[in-house]
Amino acid sequence: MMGMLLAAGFAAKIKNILFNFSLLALLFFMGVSLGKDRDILSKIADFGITSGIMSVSVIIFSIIGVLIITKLFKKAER
Amino acid sequence: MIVVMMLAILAGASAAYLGYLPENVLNLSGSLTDWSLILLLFLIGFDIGNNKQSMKTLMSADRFTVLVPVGTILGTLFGGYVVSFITVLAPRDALAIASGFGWYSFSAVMIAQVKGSDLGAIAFLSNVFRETITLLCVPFVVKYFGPYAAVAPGGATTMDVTLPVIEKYAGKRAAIVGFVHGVILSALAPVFVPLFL
Repeated sequence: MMGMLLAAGFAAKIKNILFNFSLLALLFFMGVSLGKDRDILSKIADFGITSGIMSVSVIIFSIIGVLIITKLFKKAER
Repeated sequence: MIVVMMLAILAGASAAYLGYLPENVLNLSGSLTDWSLILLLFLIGFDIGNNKQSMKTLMSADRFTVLVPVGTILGTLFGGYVVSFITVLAPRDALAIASGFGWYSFSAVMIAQVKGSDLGAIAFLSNVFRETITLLCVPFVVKYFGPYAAVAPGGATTMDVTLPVIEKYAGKRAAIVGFVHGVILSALAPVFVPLFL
C-alpha cells in the first residue's frame, strides 16, 4: 500500500538496488539457515525429487485447468 | 540474475556449514532476514502500484485475460494438493509452495521465514524448475493444446522471463493474455502464499 502511494516520486534506480540487495540478503540468510543443519547434504536429493514432482504436477494441472475453463466458457457462449 | 541468486544461497549455506561465519552473524540472521523481508514486500507493493501500463492492458484486454489466470490458479492449487499425496509434504505446505506460481525468489524467502529453510529450499527449487520447464515445453503445449494453454505453465513469470517464448510460439494475442496473466499472478502470490502458511 505504501509502495502504491509513493510510486510516483520514488527513484526507480534506488528501488532496483534496494530490491536486489534485500532479495540477495534474504537468499543468503536462507542459505545460512540451510548450512547450519548438519544433515543438509543427505537432504539435498530429497529436496530435488520433491521439487521436480511439484513443478511437473502444477504445470500439468494448470494446463488442464486452463483447457477446462476455456472450453466451458466457449460452450456456454454457444 | 538466477545464477546470482543461486550463488547467494550456496554462499550462505557453505559459509554456515563450514563454520566461516562468526557466531553473532548466525544469531542476528533471524532479525536481518525479517528486515530484508519487510523491505522486499514494500518494494513489491511499489512495483505493483507503479505498473500503470499493465493496468491499462488489463482493462482493455478480452475475456481470456481473466479466464486463463483463473484456470491457472485452480489447476496450480489442485496440482500442489495432489503432490501432498505422493510426497512427504503436508497439504498446506504443498499449497503454499504451489501458490508461488513460479515466483521463486518471493515464495522461497516467505516460506523459509515461516516454515523453515528446508521448505524454503523446496519452494525455491520447484519454482525454478517450473520456469525452466516452461521455457522448454511452450512449443509442445502450443502444438497440442493451443495458445492459451501455453500461458498456464509459466505462472507469474509470463509477464517477464517466459513472455518472449510465449510470443514466439503462441502469437501476439496469447502474449497479451500472458502478460496480464503474469501481472495478476504476481499480485496474487503475496496473498496466496501467506494464506496457506
